[in-house]
Amino acid sequence: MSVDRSKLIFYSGDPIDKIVGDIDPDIVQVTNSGATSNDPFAAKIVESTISNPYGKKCLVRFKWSIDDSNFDSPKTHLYYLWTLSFTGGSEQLGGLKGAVSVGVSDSTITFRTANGDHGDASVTSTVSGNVYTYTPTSHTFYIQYVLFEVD
Amino acid sequence: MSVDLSKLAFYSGANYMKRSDLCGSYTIDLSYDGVNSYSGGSLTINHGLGYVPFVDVYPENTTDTIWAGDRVSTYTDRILLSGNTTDDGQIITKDVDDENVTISFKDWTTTSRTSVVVHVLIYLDYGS
Repeated sequence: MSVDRSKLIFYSGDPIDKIVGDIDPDIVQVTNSGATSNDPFAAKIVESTISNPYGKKCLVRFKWSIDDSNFDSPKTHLYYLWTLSFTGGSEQLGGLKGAVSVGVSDSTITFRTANGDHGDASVTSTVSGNVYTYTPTSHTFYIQYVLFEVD
Repeated sequence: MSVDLSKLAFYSGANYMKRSDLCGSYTIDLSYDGVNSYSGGSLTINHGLGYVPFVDVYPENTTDTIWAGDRVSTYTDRILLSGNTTDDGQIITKDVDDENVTISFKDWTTTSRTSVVVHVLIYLDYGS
């Protein structure tokens, strides 16, 4: 249904959220190759930035997904289980599959992703410390967002 | 009652969320707690609504960027789970009851930060 915006003049006794620009959410994609070398407990941070077309600091609401189908809230941290093998045994551990933050300055919108996903790992002790072997799992983060005014 | 016409642009396809007059920018004083590697502090706002409203809080970091909640980091999950890790994350939490909103902020990038500005939204439309 098309919307006739001329019909939408509205009185509120209280301030309300004002979406900046187009009401339709924008979506960005950020690819994060996952994990970091020799630290299977750490997430890899990948940021993507775009210019803020409105030139002012705004608040942002967003949802995000790693499959472009099932979306999560900003606070969501996706976890998974992986197995660490070592001499004489193995142990199942938890890891961070994905988390997202979005920040807005007057010039830039920053999409910050964390990906600690990887396959099962093994560890070998050496004189210079533990050496971990594993394969990171890449994810593409789909982040859908709208900006709205601070006040 | 005067009407601020700048508040009147409205699109009914979006959810209608009325803001409390308490919405605005607040400064939380931060300090090093002497044990964990972060600067932390908290702030309580008395909303007095008699019900638990929906509340959103947005911290503004030192580069003038407003984050939508936490700023995820390499060890974000460790911070969230154990609360005792040196890292580059920033974590904000809020506790809301039918009288108050208490906001806590921790900046794991430094032990010497003295304040943070937070933008607080308290919505009147719904609560529990």
